[in-house]
Amino acid sequence: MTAPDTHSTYGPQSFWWKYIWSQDHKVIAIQYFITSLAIGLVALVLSWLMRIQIGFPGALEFIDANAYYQFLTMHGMIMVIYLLTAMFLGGFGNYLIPLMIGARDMVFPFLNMLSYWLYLLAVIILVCGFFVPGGSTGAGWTLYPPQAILPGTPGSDWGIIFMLVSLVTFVIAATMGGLNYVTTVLQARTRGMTLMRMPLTVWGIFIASLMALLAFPALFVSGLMMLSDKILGSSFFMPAIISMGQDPGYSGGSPILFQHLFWFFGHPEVYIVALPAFGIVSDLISCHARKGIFGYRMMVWAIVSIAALSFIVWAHHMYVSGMNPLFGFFFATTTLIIAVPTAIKVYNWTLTLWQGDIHLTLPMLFSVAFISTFLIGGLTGLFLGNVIVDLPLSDTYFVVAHFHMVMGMAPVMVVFGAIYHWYPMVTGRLLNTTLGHWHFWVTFIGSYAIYFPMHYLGILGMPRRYYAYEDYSFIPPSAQDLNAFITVAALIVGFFQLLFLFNLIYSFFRGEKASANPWRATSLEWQTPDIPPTHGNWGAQQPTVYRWAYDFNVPGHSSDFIPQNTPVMNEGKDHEIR
Amino acid sequence: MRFVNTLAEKPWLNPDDGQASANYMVQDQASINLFGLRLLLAVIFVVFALFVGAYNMRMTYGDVNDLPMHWRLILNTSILIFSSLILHIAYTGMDKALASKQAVEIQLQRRIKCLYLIAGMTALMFVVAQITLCQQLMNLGYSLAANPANSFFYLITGLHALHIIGGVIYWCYCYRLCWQTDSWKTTETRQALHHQMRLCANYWHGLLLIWLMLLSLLLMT
Ligand code: HEM
Ligand SMILES: [Cu+2]
Repeated sequence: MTAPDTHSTYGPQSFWWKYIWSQDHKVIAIQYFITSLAIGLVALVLSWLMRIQIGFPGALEFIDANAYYQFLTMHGMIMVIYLLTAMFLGGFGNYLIPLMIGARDMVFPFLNMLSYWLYLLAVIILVCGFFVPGGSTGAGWTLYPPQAILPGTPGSDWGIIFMLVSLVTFVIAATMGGLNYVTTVLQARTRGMTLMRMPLTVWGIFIASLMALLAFPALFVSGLMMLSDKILGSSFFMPAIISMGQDPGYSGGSPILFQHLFWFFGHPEVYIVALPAFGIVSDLISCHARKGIFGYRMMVWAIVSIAALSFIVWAHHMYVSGMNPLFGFFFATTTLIIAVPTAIKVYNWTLTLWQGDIHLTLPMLFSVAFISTFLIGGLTGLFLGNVIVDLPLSDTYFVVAHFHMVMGMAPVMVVFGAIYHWYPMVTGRLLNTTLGHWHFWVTFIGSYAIYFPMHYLGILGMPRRYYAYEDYSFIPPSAQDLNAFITVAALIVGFFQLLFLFNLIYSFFRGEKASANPWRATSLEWQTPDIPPTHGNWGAQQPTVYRWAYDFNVPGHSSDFIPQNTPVMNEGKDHEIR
Repeated sequence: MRFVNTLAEKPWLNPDDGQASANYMVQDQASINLFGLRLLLAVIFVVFALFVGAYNMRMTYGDVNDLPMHWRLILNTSILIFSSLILHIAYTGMDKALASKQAVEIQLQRRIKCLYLIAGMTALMFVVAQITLCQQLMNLGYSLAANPANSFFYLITGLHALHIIGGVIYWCYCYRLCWQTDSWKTTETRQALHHQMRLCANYWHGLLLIWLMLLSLLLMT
């Protein structure tokens, strides 16, 4: 039994156990969600500060070169790991997996709770890193040694230690979560929910969790080794080096070894964020275009093959590290091959829209925005995947533009779409649409205003990770105007994210009451006896699944959708039978 | 192969009236736990495999010395093997206890408890032996920072020992269960105990395999 089919284990609880030390996957999901949003807000503010410095150099006194590097590092690390990874796996994964596969909870609820608290601890350590002597680390989110731990880099005393300890803690938390998600999907699906009947959201999160289990160890190992180099004076990564006129006593270590370990984690990491987004957006598009997803099987295959391939492409981040050209050839080939399943997915989303009954709801708008930004970002990825094209472009704003389009904007669009979509299920109320439209249009147009010019700046040769761009003869002065423009756009977009936060809170109290299944969705999470679902999710009886999640507009049926738990004989009838 | 077949299914073709779900197997919590544990072992394996990879790469730099520890390592390993073996015997004894319909004989109970105790203690002994080995090496001047071989050695053995200690903590829980007379009373409680011991043994064997991988690495270089 996945869980006893009675209510006894899921009875009422006191406030403390219900909301704080909760083992309910839905509460843990919300905890993950709020925590990641809070720390994400810090990263957002950091990005404003950086942009102000670049657009209007010297406008803010307190941003010197050191502060700039610290902001840069913390912004990147928080966004990639503590916001996106945590929110997709810990937030959406936790909330949706059990509901979508018809389970009552995760299979290891206690471990699930522990995972959240360790994540919170990791975030707290990270935040403490801001306040230690010397401030947080400024080594760049890739934390490359030797500079990461040598004097001269801001935060090389304590900041880097806090960073690494926080990361190691995060990996343990993510592993606990990942074990839960993978085991739940494989072992606790309800009756009739075969793997190939799972919504693509579950597929995306499931495979991403599996990847996290295999990729995060590399971060863990490199984190421990760097800590040892820093604190115990070993020389895993540190070569013999004279630093500030002194010999810190290292010898013979290999910085390249760190790069390999880091990117063995780092590249899969981008897909750990991307795959859940892929999955979620597939479901949003299908539901809001009232049409079954085009090429379901191909979508699953693409997810699986992207996951497998992404473990053998990591060195495309290291083309400029002076590696053997044959390696470069190998990694360029695998990198370009990965574009094939990725492109298939983009075609399938488009073909799902083709002749669909498209409702331009906010989730749909954000989904289309996702396709658009992801397409642009993916295309520049193809540029960068070629060694000779990458060599001049690497470490310029072209790369910044690439990964912000593909990993910054695209998954964030999905996050927004998903929130507009599932908010009524979680809270019972709809988000305000007027505010939502303002949020959407400004974010969508704004993201192009911010990142499109960066491609051009990159081709001009503007290097990334510089604190100021004055007095470089190879950068024309007009670049500064463009930078100022980008900064203004970034501040406006940033402001509208606050509007979105306001909407989240406002609608919680004042939003329009939602009906039980406002988008008329087929998947199980909308078919619970209570909306919002209560502890134990399914009341007395877990649901039985009779079909896949994409029966929209099936010919010969009165209603334009058939929930997954509707048996064949009831097809023509209404969908009240929950 | 089964996975490939699964991926070849066409879910849109046959919505069913309960046929496909008729042969649905409800997983019991025991097999779920076992699955989770094996997944965890796989992750731990990846961690150490990455260390092995890093070690091999770092060793090509040619500034590596040799640690005079081979026979001690083999000795420690034999302690670990012994521990795993004893745990396995205890666990198979539990199989027997489960098979018997009536109350379990006191003698069998005692034997299992005793074996179980030895298994835990020897695992602890392994940890202590590893620590003393490290200490002796340090006293001989093989400090952690002196050479990459040393650094790897201390880091890898330390991390592995930590995992063993984690296992021992879990073992304490099982042992308490084993000690309580209640655990032996009914078939259900015995099954629960059997299950816990099975998880424990699985973890033990998994860590042993990982250690053997690490040992061969350390001996080869
Ligand atoms: C067709 C697919 C893709 C290709 C061929 C590709 C290729 C590349 C290459 C070659 C680089 C290294 C550029 C350099 O540093 O010189 C890069 C950087 C990056 N890519 Fe992609 N990429 C693809 C998709 C993605 C996706 C889907 C994501 C995230 C969801 C992503 C996130 C990133 C990030 C974050 C970086 C920058 C890392 C850093 O140096 O800080 N990429 N990409
Ligand atoms: Cu990559």
